[in-house]
Amino acid sequence: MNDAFKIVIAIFLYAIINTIYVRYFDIMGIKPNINAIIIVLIGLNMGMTKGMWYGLYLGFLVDMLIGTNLGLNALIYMYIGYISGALAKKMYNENIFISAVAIMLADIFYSVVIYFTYYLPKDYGFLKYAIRLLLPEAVYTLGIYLTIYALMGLFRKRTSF
Amino acid sequence: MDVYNRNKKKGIYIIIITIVLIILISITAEKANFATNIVLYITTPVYRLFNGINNFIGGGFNYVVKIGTLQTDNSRLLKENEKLKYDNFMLNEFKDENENLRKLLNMKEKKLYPVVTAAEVIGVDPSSYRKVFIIDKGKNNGLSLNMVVINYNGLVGKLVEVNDVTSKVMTIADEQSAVSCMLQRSKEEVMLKGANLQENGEICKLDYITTDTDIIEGEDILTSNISEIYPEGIPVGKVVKIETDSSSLIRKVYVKPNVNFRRLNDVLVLKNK
Repeated sequence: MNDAFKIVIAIFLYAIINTIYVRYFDIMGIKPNINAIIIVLIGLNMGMTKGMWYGLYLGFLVDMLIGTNLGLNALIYMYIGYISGALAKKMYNENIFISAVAIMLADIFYSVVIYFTYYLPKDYGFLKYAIRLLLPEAVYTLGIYLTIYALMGLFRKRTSF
Repeated sequence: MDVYNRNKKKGIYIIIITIVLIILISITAEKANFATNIVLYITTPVYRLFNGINNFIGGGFNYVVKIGTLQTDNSRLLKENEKLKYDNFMLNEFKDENENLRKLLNMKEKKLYPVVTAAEVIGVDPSSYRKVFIIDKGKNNGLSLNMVVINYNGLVGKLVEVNDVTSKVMTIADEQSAVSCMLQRSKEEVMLKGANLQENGEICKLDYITTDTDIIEGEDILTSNISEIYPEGIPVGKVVKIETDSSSLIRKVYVKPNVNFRRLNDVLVLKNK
């Protein structure tokens, strides 16, 4: 089985598992954006083209499984994948700081687009939105990423003996 | 030069895909479509498999945890069952009496809205800004758009997208949701809107409540008879906070839904009006 096919299947299963289990991560109505973590990491490690296509694919899956507009998540994650790939070309060298900042920015980008699509037409104040949803979600997503990173590091150490 | 051409090509791809997606977004808003239907036919068995595993592990875990209290629970439930049997008998008596009195007064019998099907929640929206979830029944089970979803605690929401094998339910706590309700004591009509950006994300608010509206904290909110979708009298929630601003005549009223959306597993779908 080639790598691309494995990734396609893995993302397919991940998209389903995420919609089943994400509710257990709900704190005060805020859920982490694990999709952004996945796509940023793909973009950083595999480059612009792959980041873009896998982002588009995961976004489409999310839209089909739970979204209201087919294409909205696809569009956002495509750009996240593409920009992460472009960022990797310039500065990424497996540095945790860069990936952490990229993930946070990706989540903020996602929330800003959502604000313009859903909340701005309803005259919802941006400051209120940022305090209640955008910033807590970005911090929560970052926390989840750092936890996964630390666990992976621990796992690698254990298995390297 | 070659790199420049490649980047230019990528840029053109991105622009074309963006335009196509924007068109797609505008034409597919809250509509079931062919591509989604096909994908859901593939994903639903996978959902069932994962949920089956989930229930099996959760059930086994619960059994182990509760093994010590099973006997006391059982005797408590038997007593409760006896009481419920008696209550049920009394309610049937009241029902007959009510029907007879209605006949005497020449009043129309209250219309009952039949349950179309029971369904299981198989997934939730992974984003924080919407309170939408997926149930495992769709058009093939007789569901259609705007059908009402409840559970034993009260109103959950309505169907906003119905595909062949699954459906999407928008809960009443979603910012896009608006339900026509009434106050239990005064029967005054109110509009209940989702307010998932407030407090812990599972709260609704009442619109246009003036200072002369007869409303108290702890009051029950029910669906009203003038709603075009929701049947009358379904419990929705309780008033938890009333904020009165001295400078305006409008009060901010927050309602906690009876249903705990985080623990929602089984729901009933009712026929709408």
